[in-house]
Order: sequence, then C-alpha cells, then structure tokens
Amino acid sequence: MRRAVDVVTILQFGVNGLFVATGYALVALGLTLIFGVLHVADFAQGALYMLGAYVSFYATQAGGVGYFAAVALAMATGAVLAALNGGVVYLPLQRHGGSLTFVAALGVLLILQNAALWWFGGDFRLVPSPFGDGKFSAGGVVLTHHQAFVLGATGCLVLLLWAGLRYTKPGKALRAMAQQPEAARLVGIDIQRVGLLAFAVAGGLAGGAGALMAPVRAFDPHIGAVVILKSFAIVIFGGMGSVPGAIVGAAVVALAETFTAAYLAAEFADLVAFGLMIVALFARPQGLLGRLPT
Amino acid sequence: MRWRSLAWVVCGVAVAVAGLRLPAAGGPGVETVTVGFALPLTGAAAREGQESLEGAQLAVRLLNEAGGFRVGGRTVRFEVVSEDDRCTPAGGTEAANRLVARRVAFVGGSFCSSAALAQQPIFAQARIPQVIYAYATDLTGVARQRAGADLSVRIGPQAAVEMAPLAKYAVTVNNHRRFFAMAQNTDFGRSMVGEFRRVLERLGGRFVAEPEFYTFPGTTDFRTILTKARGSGADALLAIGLVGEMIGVSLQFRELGLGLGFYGSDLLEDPAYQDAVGERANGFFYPWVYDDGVDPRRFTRTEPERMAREMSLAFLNNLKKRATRNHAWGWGTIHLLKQAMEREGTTDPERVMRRVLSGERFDLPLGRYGFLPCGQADMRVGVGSYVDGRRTLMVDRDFAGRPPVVLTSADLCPR
Repeated sequence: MRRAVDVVTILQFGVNGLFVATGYALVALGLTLIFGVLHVADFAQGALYMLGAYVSFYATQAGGVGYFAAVALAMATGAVLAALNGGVVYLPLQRHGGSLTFVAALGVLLILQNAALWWFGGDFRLVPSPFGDGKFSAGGVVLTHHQAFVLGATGCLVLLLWAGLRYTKPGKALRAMAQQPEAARLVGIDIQRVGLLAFAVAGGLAGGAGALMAPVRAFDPHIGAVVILKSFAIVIFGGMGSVPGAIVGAAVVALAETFTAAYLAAEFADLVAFGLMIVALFARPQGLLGRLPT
Repeated sequence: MRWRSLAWVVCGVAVAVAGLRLPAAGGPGVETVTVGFALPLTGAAAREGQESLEGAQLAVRLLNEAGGFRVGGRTVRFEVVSEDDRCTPAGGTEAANRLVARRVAFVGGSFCSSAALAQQPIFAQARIPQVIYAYATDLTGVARQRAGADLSVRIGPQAAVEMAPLAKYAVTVNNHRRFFAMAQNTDFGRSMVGEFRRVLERLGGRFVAEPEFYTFPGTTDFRTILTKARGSGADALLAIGLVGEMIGVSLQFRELGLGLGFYGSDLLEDPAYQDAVGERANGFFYPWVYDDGVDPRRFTRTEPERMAREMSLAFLNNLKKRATRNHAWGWGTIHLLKQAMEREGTTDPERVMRRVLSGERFDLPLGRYGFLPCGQADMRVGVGSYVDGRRTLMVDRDFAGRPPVVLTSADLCPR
C-alpha cells in the first residue's frame, strides 16, 4: 500500500484533524462545564447540537434569516432549551442521586431525537454556507472559507468562555461551584441559578456547534447521538469538569483519530477515542487535566 | 342460576365457533393478509426505512380502497404492520421476533444488510416468507442456505448486480483502471467493494490500496480518507455509503479539489442527495436502479417500466411527492405478493413463494423480472451520471450483459 509521506499530505491531515477537533470541542466544553458544576452527564446536549443544526436550516431556508444571525439564534435556542431541561428534569432529579440524572439524560436525548424525526422527517439537510465553495489553498493544503470561519468562531467562543469564567461574577460563581460546592453554598451562591447558567452556557455552545457544522456535514435527527458519544469520551480523557482538559482532549483525540485513519486504517479511527478514554481511566483516573476529588 | 350459567357458556362457545369460521376481517368472503415490515424506522437509515414503509402503505391503501383483489374466488385485502430494526443486527433480531409473535403472513425488509442477515434465520424457522431489500451477497447465498431460508427472496439488486455494470463502465467507457475504494464497515459496504473489485480486476483494473472501511454509523468527516485517495496514485474513487455519508463524501471530495473520477452506489440517485450536492455531483457515476421515465437518457428504452410509472403517479396524486427507489421496496413487496397470489389462486405463504420462485416474471417498480432459485431477483441495473446537476441515464439495464459480459444470471446464485 502506498503511504502518503509528503509534507503537504501530513499538513492536510493536520488541518483535517484540527477541524474535526472544533466539532468535538464545543460540545465537550458544555458537557464538562455541566459535569464540573452539577455532576450531571448531560447526554441531551447531543440533541441540542442537532436542534442547533435544524434551527440554522429553517432560519436560513424558511425564515429568510442570514446565516450568522441563524448561528446566534441556534445558540439562543440551545441555551433556553438546556436551561429549561436542567430546571425541569435534572435539578429536581439530582436530589435523588446521580444515576437518575444519567438515565434521564439518555431519555431526554432519545425523546428529542425521535420528536425531531417525527417533526422534521428523516431527510438529510445541509445549510448553504455564506462563503460558498471558496477555499484557501497553500501548496496543496486546502482549507475552505467555511472551515476557517468555524475554526475562528470556535477559538472566539473558547476565549469568551475562558474570559467569562475568569473575570465575570457569574463565571466566578460557576468556578466556585465546581471547585468547592460546600464553600460556595456557605458564601451564598445560589446553586439553582448557577446550575441553570451552566446548562444555558453549555446548551448555547452545543446549539452553536450544530449550526456551525450544518453547512459542512449533512445532518438528520440522529446526528447528535454520534457527536455526544465522542464528546463524552473526550471529556473523560481530558478530565471531567476541566475546561482546558476538554479543549486539549478534543485536539488530541481528533488528531489521533485522523492520523490513525491516515497511517493505519479508517476502521480503527474510532477505536482511538474510546481507547484513549480507557487508557486515561487506568493511568490517570482524573483524566489528562482533571483533578481528583478532595 | 345453573341454567343461566349454562346459557352463557353456550353463547360463548357459539361466538367462538362463529369467530373461527369467519374470515380474519372485512366481512364474509374477504380475507385480510397481514404483511409485516422490519425496517430501520429510527437510527442511521430511518429515512430509507420510513420511505420503504410509506411505499407499502400507499400500495395497500390504494388496493384496499379499490375493494381489494380477487384470489381464488375470494376478495383479499392487505394489512401492514411494522417494527423498527434500527439498521442493527440486535434491532433486527428484536424486530423479527416481534413480527413472528404478531403472526404476520409475510415480511418485507430489512433495508440494512446486517439487520436482514440477523432476521433471516428467525423468519426461516417460523416459515414466514421474507422479501429482502438489502444488498449483501450472502442474503441469497451462504447465509440463506445456512438459515434454511428457502422462502426468502431479494426483490432488488445484490451487490454484484450494481457493481458489475459500474466497474465495466469505469474501465471500458471512462478508462478508469486504478481505484481507491472507501466504504462503510458493514456487510453492505464490504459486499459492494468486493463485487466491484472482482469485475475491475477481471477487466484489467486494480485497487491501488486496500479499501478503507470507516465506522458506520458515526463517521461524518471523510477528509482524511479522501486526502489519502488524493495521494494514492488512483485515477478514480469508489465510495459506498448511505445518503448522508455520500453527501459528506461528495462535498468533501470537491472541497479538497480531488481530480479523480467518482463512482458510488445507487444512493447517488436519491433525490435527497441530488438536492444537497446539486451540480457538485457533475461527472459522478452510479448504478441506476429506479427509472420513472423522468430523467434524461442517452439510449432508447427497450422495455417500459409500467409499474414504476404507476407508482410515480400514485405518489404525485396522493402524497404530492416524487417517488424514490426506497418507496419502490415497499410498493414492490405488496405488488409482488398480490401478483403471485392472483396467479397461484391462494394466499398460502408457502405456495405464494413457490410461485414467486418459479421463474415467472412480475411487474415491479424496478422492472419486469423473475426470481432465481436462490431467491435473487434476476434483474439488472444501468449506469447513470450527473450532467448539469441532473441525473442522466447513460446506459440501459442490459449493459452488463453486453460483450464483454460481466454479469449473467449464473453469477447471482452460489454455485
């Protein structure tokens, strides 16, 4: 078998891997935020990713809304639905133990997925990119304008999240809840409100990710289930509750997947994500950048 | 008191006896035959499964609204029930067991090879005839023999029927001989790639690398495989997947600016693919299976496909939509059973299927053809391509059988 060993091809693999990482990173960030603050494994974030894609589709195709506004609308929809779901389902159930929220999360994912199948139908959709078919090409390494936009937008969202968590009062409350929940309660942080904020931020990221990817990946109501599984493996690998862990985890898993497919075989690519997750659990149970509970 | 109890018992027995003597439903002289569909109604192939079911439901609705049809002096009506197999072997097994428990007379499905392979032994053991839509070669080969599924037939193409003319077209018309192949890692994907390779090598072509089989469901980014294809030295790409995957592969193929020929399965003729990919599919080739007479063609049709036009009109008039190949599976199942029942003069499942397997030809949405003893439809497909964003039929169904012959009926059953 002929191996692609030239630099251009390796660079192209690298670009491919980074782009795959952006898709994982935003959903993984939301997952890890919710887990860090509330210890809920919110699989329903996958459904919000899917709904984000549909919101951008209908907003642009039926509503006449521009694509960039549609992304904002998808983020807002994801945020509202996630907060609603958190307030109505997870927070009341959390009092009765973590296993209940786990089952509920799977249930919500399936309900939303099948509701979308019934409502939107099983047809594959694709949102036209505002950048058309334009692409950058440097010495044979290709990056489409839309891919560049997604990379940039993901970078901006990550920076915004980081700044929000570090410098704003609600962000500090989220961090306090994640690091010292008892102490946070004692200093008067409203647990319910902070919990809902975590859900809203995560839902916004998931909805935004769905809308950003909608012009480059055909989607149907099941797309969220695919995304959430990989994102969850990334969160475990990066460290449950760790925001930098989610970003580094997404990059490592995506690049490892890509280079496995490139130099071994595509059929082993998906094993990498889950293989890394298992290795992380054995070698470093708290994940790459996570902390052991004190 | 004792007399009253006795009267109740007598009444009960009378009602039970009367119930046994009456036809299943629909009044005197009317027999209702239940056809179960084991299809992916959720999951990665939900759209295909739902369209197949929709085809069956519309066919049954129209037949029943017309008063049913006559079989041996009795009026017969169909009833459709369905179970979701989720396009997985586990889901296929569950769906099959549920349909057996519901005592259906016939089964349509599955659309997915892995699910159909799981279902085949279950229906064979229950002696329920199965009309299969999936393409994996074994469904009318080793798996069918091993399961003792002598009442099962495949109503459409198997992998060889699709891939033989496509490979021949690639080599003899387009002069594409060096291929890079990618497919979903399923019985469907592996069968299609294997059959393409068989004919390609017979005609002097070759694969430049071992085929890449990606995870299904779950793969949405194909850029890495396509980047490998770009540097592989191939002059064409063979890509096998369901509609969502093929949309992704096609768009990313264009994004990366690959200058290779492009060949896919008949999923490329799906309207959803056409809508999403449009002119970016220009110059892509695929085996065409379903012809409703609308697409432009580069040949003179030798055999009009009556049932395809009938189905197409029925969809336009009743559901205001264009029928697809997926609709043809369900519609075809109902009309195959109807025609076999009418000819045999009975609804007895074993006798109906013996009639189907007799070699007689039936009018179906994918053409007029019979079935081989191994259960395979003795049908052929042509080769199509996208020209100006439109599906265009390049060669007719007889292409694989013209010299150099790459497919005969003998190739379709295990020797």
